[in-house]
Amino acid sequence: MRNPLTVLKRRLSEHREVRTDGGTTSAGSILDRDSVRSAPFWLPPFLLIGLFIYGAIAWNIVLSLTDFQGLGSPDYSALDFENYVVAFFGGTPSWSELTVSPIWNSAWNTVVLMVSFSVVCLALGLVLAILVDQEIRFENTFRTIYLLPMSLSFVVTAKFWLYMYNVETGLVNLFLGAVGVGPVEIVQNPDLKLAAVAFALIWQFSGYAMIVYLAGLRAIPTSHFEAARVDGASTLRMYWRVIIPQLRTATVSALVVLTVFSLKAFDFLFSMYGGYQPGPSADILATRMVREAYSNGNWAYGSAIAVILFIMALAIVTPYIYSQYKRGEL
Amino acid sequence: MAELTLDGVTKVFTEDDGNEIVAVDEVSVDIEDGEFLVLVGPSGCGKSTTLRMVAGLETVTRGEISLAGRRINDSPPAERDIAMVFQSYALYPHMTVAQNMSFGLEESTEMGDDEISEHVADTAAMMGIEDLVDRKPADLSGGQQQRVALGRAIVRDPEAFLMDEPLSNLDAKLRATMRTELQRLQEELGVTTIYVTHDQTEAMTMGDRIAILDDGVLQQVGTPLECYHTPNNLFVAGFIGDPSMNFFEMDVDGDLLVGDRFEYPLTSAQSEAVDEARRVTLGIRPEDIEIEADGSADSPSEFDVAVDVVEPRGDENTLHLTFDRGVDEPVTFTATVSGLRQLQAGDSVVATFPPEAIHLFDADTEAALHNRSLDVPEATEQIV
Amino acid sequence: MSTETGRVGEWSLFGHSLRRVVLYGILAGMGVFYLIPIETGIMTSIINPASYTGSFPYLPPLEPLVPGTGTFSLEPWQGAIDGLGQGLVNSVILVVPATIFSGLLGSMAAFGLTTISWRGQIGIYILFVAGIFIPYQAVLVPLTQFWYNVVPLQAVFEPLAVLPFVQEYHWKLVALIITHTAYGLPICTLLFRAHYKKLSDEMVEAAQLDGASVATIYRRIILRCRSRCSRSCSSTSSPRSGTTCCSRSPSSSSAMQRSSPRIWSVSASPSRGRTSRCGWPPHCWLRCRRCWCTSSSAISSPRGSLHSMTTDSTGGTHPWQN
Repeated sequence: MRNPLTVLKRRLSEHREVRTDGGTTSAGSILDRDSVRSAPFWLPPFLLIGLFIYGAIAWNIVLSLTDFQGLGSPDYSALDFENYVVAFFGGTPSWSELTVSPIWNSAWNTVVLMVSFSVVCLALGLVLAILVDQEIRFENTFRTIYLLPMSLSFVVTAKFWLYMYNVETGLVNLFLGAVGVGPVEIVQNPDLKLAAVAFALIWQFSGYAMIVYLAGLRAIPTSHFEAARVDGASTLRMYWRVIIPQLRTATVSALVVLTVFSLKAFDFLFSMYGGYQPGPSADILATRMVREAYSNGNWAYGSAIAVILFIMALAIVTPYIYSQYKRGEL
Repeated sequence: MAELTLDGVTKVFTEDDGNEIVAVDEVSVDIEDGEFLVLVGPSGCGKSTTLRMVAGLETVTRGEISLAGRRINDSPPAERDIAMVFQSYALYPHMTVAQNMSFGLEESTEMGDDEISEHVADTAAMMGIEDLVDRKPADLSGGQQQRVALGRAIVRDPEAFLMDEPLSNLDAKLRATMRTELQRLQEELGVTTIYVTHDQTEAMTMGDRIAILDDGVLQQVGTPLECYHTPNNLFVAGFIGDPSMNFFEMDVDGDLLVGDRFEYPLTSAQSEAVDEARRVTLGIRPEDIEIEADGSADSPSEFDVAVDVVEPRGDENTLHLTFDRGVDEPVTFTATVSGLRQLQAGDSVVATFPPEAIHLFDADTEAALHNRSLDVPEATEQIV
Repeated sequence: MSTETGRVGEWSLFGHSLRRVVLYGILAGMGVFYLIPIETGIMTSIINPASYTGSFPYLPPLEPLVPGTGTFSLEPWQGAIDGLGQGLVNSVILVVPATIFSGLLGSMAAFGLTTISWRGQIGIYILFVAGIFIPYQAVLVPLTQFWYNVVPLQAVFEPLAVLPFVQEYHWKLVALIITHTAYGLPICTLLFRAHYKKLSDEMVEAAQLDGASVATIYRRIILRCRSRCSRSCSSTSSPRSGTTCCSRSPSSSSAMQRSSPRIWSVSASPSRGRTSRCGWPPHCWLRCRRCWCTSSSAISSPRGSLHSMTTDSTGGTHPWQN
């Protein structure tokens, strides 16, 4: 009768590999498996992101269930969904004497910004890509110019556009004046704020959309263009019916990136409005969250908003990653 | 009447550094209504460029292209009423077969949807792909995709078809099948067709006439057999025919041709044709060389040669013969004999170059001086 | 390449077709649109503040030629350097280590997950990739708690403040470096994986047959590939390569990770402005040196020869061919 310990040891140290002729062979101990052998390479980074990304997210969720507010340490004993109730319906939470407003305004602004920014960015990027694809001279120069805004940080972009939007000296108003429209207050104007922010962000990111589309366009064989022409399609029809439908992958990829990015547009708003409160018409979930947590001290409430933001991002990204995985393009 | 005329068509590409590349040089062909013309030549000879100029995908530097009497140099491709089949088929991957086929009709005609569907269904039936109309191109095999590409061109009922090596992506067996089917289709539809290929077998078997191009210059236009038996120059003679014609460089010495390894007498007619030329190239097709296993070289047009390599093809054997014996890498020429003859490498045979079968070309200008006579020889072949 | 690009049946204007004229016009117009804010900023930055009027913001200071444009002065730059100097130094201290570590760890992680195939690695990789899309707000509060209350980094750092060049607040920078390394990891892993996928499987298998261990393969083959690739990168004909990161704009990026810990430095030191040295997110530094020649060639190569650029970069020449 074998010593059970020996049996266990043998089981742990043996790793049977399937041979190509159908038999099995013992390929050495568990330490020889490729996954273990390459562990020193991927495990430390994995642990790092495991802690800082996934650990932090989990912790954030837990925090959102507490009543953590102001100074001190969070109390992990009494966990409830109060913060979420307040986030969706407003009211007076147990940790505050004041009424806390729900997040619908911020959520709505976030969605509006997200959709308008992504769609216009994609459209502009597509138009630019089609133009740049026309076998022009100085193509590299044009591409570099269009990508230049992406090289700026948000702080810089925000400051530049604050300057552009200035009522008296801004170029935008100069331009409007030349067309006959009077000087328009943009930056502090509740009606135009969000549009102004979206416009500046589009300025910065349409270069990226252009690049993605350009690569997609270059992947379409010339014969498709030619066949469409010989078939009788005008240029517009050719692009609309033959070329653009083939850019679906590029569109999805760029859309996911742009959309998720716009959820994170905090830096820009913070720099542009110089504080935690860009005003209700430009208040997005990101700014709301930071304000609640760092300005008002409502840490747990901020965490709850952050979780909602995270779920929104997840909802956009998960289908994308899944479809990439299914298609083997990961 | 959809006759297609190319008159002095020239295409010059100018590079960035000012270099000019003449891709097509003064090509003139008159294609009759309903004719199947094959444009053939080696890679880079300008046949695709010519086709693209006819399609309107390249501008014409000089010359005129007319279709049905109308000058079409300046019309964009959409207005030329021409359908094209591309080498890679260029099927739109996001559309079904039916949508691919309807596209041309939707874009270039005013037909209603019902009418278009009807046409598409008819053409699909003609091509044998009616079961595939709802599939996407990615789900089809190469041969099926090719049929769809053809169907897409046919359904438009154009004045001319242009085909750019449509069979080159198919495997050999499928290619042979599609060759006959294409021919049958074209005869049935009676549409003027220009067919570009680098494969001279396709050219020979499919064309009503073939036009041979080399380096942008038109070498010869004629029926396949004309080009085969009466080539205009050395290039055509060497290009058409597989295995290709044997060439021997000879010096002219009165009535005699003197070469490195043998001498060959000329008949008076041939001498006259040679005229002033000092050096000629003697050409003879492999199937015209008569081989005797036994016997000796009696007459001046018989030579003792050794067999270097035998390539058995089943229906015939290709013999690589050489005048040099015992050399490691001898200079060989080819002859074809019946597949039933048993010959081996190393055998000594007698090769006869019948005088009525030789071609003579000027060694400098490469023009044909004398081509073989086309009378059927009286003597029967001896089977040994 | 031939410049014969005319289309059949076009109008002609001064030897160039009307279509091309309009095309270049639109392209130039868009170029102006993209450049004008930057140009205005630069022009304003060289105007003497005293003489600044605000009219003609896009013109350089041309007083007295064009009245109202102000006189030339580098005073604003002086003021900027004075005010932002400390921030600049902080940026460098943050960016350099964070990028190096991010890149190093990312390359290791990508290697372990790509070159040697084993079961389940795609799941681990998905966890890495999902990390690219995390909105930072979702992790802010826990991280604040972590660095302020849980990990006594501040206390540990205090005694080190006596060293030259080290200041008390540098513990925040250390915290930032570590955090930023962690958040730069996913995108670095993605980029390196795209690069490693292009390496021939057979090459790695041959190495394994030759008896190389995983570590040996990494050290002797992959790292060599990378350096050769980055050397070839800097000598390729792309106009953007071979220069330092700062003057370079990327030819592509997949999943552009934009928000770096700016929010951190804001909450850590609100009085400091935040400028990174070249405006690039720190993890893009490494990209300057690496094989984005492949992605730039992905775009500048002729049509039809490549696949679309989604999260992978494809095409380009094999590093060994350079």
